[in-house]
Amino acid sequence: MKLRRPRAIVIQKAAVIILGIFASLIILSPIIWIILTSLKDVNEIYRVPMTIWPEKVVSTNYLTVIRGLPEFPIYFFNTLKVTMGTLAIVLPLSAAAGYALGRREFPGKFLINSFLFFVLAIPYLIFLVPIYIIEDTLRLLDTNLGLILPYAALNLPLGIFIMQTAYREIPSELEDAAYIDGANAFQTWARVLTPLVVTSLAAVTIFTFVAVWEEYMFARTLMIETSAQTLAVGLPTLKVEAKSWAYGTLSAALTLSLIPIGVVFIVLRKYFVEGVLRGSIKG
Amino acid sequence: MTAPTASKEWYDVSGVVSVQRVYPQGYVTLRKRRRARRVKDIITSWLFILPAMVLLAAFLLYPLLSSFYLSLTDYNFVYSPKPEFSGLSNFVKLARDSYFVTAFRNTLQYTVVFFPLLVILALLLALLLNSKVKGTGIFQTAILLPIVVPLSLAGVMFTWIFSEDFGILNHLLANVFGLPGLRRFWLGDPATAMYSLTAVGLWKYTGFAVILFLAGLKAIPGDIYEAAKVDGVSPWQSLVYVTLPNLRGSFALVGAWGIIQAIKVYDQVVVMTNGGPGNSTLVLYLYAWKNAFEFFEMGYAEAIAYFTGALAFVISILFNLVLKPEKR
Repeated sequence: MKLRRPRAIVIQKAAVIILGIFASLIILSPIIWIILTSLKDVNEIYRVPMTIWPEKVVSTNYLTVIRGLPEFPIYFFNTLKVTMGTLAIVLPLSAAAGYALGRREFPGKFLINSFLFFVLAIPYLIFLVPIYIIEDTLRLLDTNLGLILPYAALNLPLGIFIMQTAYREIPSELEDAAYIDGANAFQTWARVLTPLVVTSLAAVTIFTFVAVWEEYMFARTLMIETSAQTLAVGLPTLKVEAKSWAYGTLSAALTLSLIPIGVVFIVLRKYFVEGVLRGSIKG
Repeated sequence: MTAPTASKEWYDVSGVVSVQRVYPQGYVTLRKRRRARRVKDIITSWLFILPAMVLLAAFLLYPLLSSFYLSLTDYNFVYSPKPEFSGLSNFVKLARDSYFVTAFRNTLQYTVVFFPLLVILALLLALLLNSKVKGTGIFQTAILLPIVVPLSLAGVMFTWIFSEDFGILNHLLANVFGLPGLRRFWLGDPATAMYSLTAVGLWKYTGFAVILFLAGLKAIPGDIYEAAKVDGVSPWQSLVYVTLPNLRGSFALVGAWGIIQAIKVYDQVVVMTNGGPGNSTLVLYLYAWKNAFEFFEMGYAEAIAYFTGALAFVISILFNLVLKPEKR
């Protein structure tokens, strides 16, 4: 066996790091550019020749968003409420259904799994028109609940699949021991099994969080009033209203809107990646 | 139907058929108790699954059935009192609708550029992240970060970047790279608008495809590489003859997923061009949406939606057939 010389390894490592920095910078450059724009004075933003780095870092754009843009907190809290509401439905329901499908035998199980699999492959657009008609009838349009319910339904199939796999992998000794101790099915599920699948719940959380936070088509169709809109829908309308002159404010608003989801992603990134790794290796 | 099954099971499992003759009463209560327990078990299972099923029935199963029916009807949400069954006429209309043909062509144009670039870029980045060098975690975060940027907001960001007078792209081309001839009104010119939208889609979706490839790379057992190294195989050869063939499954997965992402392109189109200039960026999803919520032709919109769904389905099935992973 031919051993590689240390120098070759050093060169290889350096190449990986240089390429990595290069790729990261290119991918991050749009975000960096928006942040730089948000720190510039309005006059500097629309000046020819343009500058890349702000001549003077100002906070006026951020202050304008916080003080002079009443829509921003509305969009922000709608997004937050809808995301939390969806998670509050998806997490317990996918854990309960995942447990039943992963560890119990009952008639109808195969049918349910086939339906879930089928639904995952269907483009969202097909559901949109009937859901619009339902919500029009039930007066759910322009309400937070009117987004939470369809989002929960759309994100449940994947959540149930992830949880089903997670529960199935638990060795049955633990469950048997709980039953011998006199626990019923519900107690066993809640106290014994679910604490063992927390990482999978984290994966469901991050998948759902991202999907809800970025969803555009449903939110745009079902939420017409400003008072009900989310960040993904509301901020682009500000662009249309402002035409081309308010990019300072707009980029400050964009930057602020990306902070929460960015933090959640960086904290839960491991579970996101692991969730995809596990799911796709099996799938 | 449960009763005979339950008793048969009882026979099979315990094999104490004689007990029935000697202690008929005990057998009956045992069987009853067993059946009661089985029924209770099924009820418990359904209690666990019921809340999810109710939600899915109301917001997925019913809409699915309803949409299928709608696609076979003539239904204007504003003017028609109720959907009127019209058979396949919506689907027949598709072939004669020049806007639909344009939307179909534009979607294909997007796909033909988006898809190969997605696969190549994702594969290269995954190979980079897979190298065993410390610090790739930071690169991973950076490369995956666009996953969490809503596509519509990425659309706003890129509108600013592609802007004609104050956009950084034109500035870099003209003043930094010294290529003023390449300056464009990126989103206002039918020749470049679709490519600009494609770039946004690639920026957003490459990260996820990277993870899918990374999953495949991590699943390749390391001893294959060791064996290749012993045989004196160069790194390039080991990539072509060891890595790529072992990534068939990932190619199939990224292929199916990437095609779906391409065919359902919508968010950035609405934000950046809304189908324009002219109809040069009118895509299938946008055309279906406009039919439903601008012209309120719900039936026709569903026909376009089903066509789009079928298109994505057929292409991803083809991918899976071509790249089917060999059975172990």
